[in-house]
Amino acid sequence: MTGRVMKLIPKALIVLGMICLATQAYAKDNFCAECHTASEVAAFGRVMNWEKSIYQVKDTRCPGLLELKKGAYFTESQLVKYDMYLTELEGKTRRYPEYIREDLDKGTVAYVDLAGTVPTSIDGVAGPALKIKKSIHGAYETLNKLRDDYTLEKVVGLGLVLTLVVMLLFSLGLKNTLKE
Amino acid sequence: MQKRLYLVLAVLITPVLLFACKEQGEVKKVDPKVLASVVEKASNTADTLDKLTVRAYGLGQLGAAMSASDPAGAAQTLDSALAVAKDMHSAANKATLEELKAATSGWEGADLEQVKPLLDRIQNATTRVWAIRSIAEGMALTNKAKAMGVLNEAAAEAEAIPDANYRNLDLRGVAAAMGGIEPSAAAAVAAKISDPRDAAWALTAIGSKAGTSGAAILASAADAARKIKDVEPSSELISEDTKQDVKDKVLSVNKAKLVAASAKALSKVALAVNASDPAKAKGLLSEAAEIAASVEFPYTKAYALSDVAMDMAEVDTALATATAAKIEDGHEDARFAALMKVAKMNAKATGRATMEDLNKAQAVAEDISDPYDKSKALREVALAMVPVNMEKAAEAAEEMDKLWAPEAEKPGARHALFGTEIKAAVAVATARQSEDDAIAALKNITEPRFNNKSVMYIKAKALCEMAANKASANPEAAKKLYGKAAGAAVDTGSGQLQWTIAAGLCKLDKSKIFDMASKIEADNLTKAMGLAEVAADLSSKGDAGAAMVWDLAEKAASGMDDDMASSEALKAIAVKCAQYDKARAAALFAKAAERVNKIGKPKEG
Repeated sequence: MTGRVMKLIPKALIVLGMICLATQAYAKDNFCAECHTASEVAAFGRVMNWEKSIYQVKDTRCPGLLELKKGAYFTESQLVKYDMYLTELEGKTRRYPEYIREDLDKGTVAYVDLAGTVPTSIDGVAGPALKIKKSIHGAYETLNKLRDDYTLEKVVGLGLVLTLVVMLLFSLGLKNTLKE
Repeated sequence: MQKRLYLVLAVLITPVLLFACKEQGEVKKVDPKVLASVVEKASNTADTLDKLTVRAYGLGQLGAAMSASDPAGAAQTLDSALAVAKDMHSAANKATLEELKAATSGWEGADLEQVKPLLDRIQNATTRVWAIRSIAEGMALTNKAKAMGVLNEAAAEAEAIPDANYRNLDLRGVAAAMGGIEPSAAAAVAAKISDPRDAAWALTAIGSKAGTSGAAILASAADAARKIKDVEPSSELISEDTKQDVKDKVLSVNKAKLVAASAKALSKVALAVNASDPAKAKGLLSEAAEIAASVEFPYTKAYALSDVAMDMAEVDTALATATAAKIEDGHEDARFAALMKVAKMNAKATGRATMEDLNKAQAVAEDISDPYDKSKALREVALAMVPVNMEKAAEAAEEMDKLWAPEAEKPGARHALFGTEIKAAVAVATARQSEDDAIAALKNITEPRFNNKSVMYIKAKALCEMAANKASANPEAAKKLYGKAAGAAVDTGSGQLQWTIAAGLCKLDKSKIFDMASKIEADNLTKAMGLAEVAADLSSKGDAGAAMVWDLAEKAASGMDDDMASSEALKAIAVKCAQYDKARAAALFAKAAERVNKIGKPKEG
């Protein structure tokens, strides 16, 4: 049950993200210049660089900055976490998890490229970031299926062994009964 | 028996029917046809106005970019931008808004929810002045008096913005833009801002540009910053039905945030004061730290102290270290941010970070509880260690791998990118002494058998950096390194990185440009920017081949589907080109204007 709920959370987040983006795409409160003067925008530098914890940034009044930092936090954390899950699965399952890594790998490169840009609007970053998140989410779904398959393999294997043991004991019992 | 059954049924059904009738009576439903037509009209109006905003802003940006090379053309473009922006505020558009407001005045519930965001968008587009302010900023580059006239009008219009938040933000923007032209007039506009957070922000911006009159303005900024903590807290989460204890809790949290905001605003004022009066700046920073220390909630307090300490580090690193020490245990992320800033500022002053500073920051980073923040913090420290102590940095990279893969049994089975990044940075630093050792160090970074894009990306980037460092002293060695980088970058699938490498290589060997341009698969923006960089380099050398490369860059930028994005790309190319070929730059600016003018107009064909 908890596993199912956990699986639903990223899906819900993606859907929520898409809804938010759709609303933002219509509400044109997106250019940095809406609040910042030209000289302030020019002095942004690489705002995507990590300087302090996301928790320290969360009370900022700049919705764009918060969006960028939150996006970076979730995307990077997901990339690293899923990569770790894949590593754990390597060698444990008959299926080869490397093909899932391909999607994560592509997502990582696309993300690094995006993180190197200097934003001038929220949409300028949020659109490509959503694409990356969707690709990472696809990899996550496949990864979950792989983990489920692995669990199923374990259960079926264990069941098979147990059945064989029971059948062996049964045949031994039958043999002894017939002997008597 | 049957009669009784009817009676029971009647008793059961009656309340249901009554309840249903009551529900219908409570919310007045709008006729679906009326609803659809009003929503459609509001939606079309909002979309049209939003597109006009983008067009006005785009033209304004274009005019500002043109001002250095073509002041007359810039003035013309800015005038047309202003005309579009003013058109949005026209009486006709305002009348449409009033008409829609009147048509929806009695609407409730879901009906109102459909139309309300659209009305808000129309109201913002017809009243907000940020686009006009941004156009005036472009005008100020060539004609300050004209810009001041536009800003004065914008300030008057901003005062009438119905939404208090937008009113304050727009007044702040106008005041900050005026700051570089007439500080006293700007301060007068800032005085109309009702929210002390915006007022402090505006006055700090004005004061830092005001020269001799700046001290008084910055003193007012400090006063506004102090006032933030006295603002009565409010919250959208509270309604009349909210229980008193919940209300008190929410308001006390928001009060703590206001106190923290006061401290942060005061420390920003101090940074502006530091340019003219460092002693006074230190005093203001100490006051900001005191305010931050008075925050009631531990997390808000820790982060406020950290933010103040980070600003302090720019003025006095010893003071910043002392403030960081006041951050309580359990908030290592906040303490780390302050200590790392201290390390960076000391490095800036002496040209090199000290191991003492970095060790202190590293020790704190080790105790950060969030794994993401912890690895980011350790990465920061390790990268800062590279120029100081490569061995220690390499050790940190190894530790980083362990941090993210504690259960990885197979060595090299996974590649923690943060660790790889540090190893690559060590290799780049090694290249300054020995190229062979650097290449060997890069080779030692294990690559996964499959899907090695991200590791190859880091390696290719490192090779590109090595090549760029060698380009002036040893072009032949740099070319070889660029060649290796290009080979590695092909596997990454990153057009951006491939074009960075291509631009570096083509600066050394122009014969490669057409080969590169045809081979690299990248989006038009990346391609256009890469080609423009090569073209600029060729133009700077007086090479006749530059013309063709400018053409290729223009073609790539023109090929972009999005009008605004295409216009911005053409503008960026034109700005580069204007240094060498003004006629070509003017043509590029004209194309950019053509694209931006298409925004909101029906597509041809």
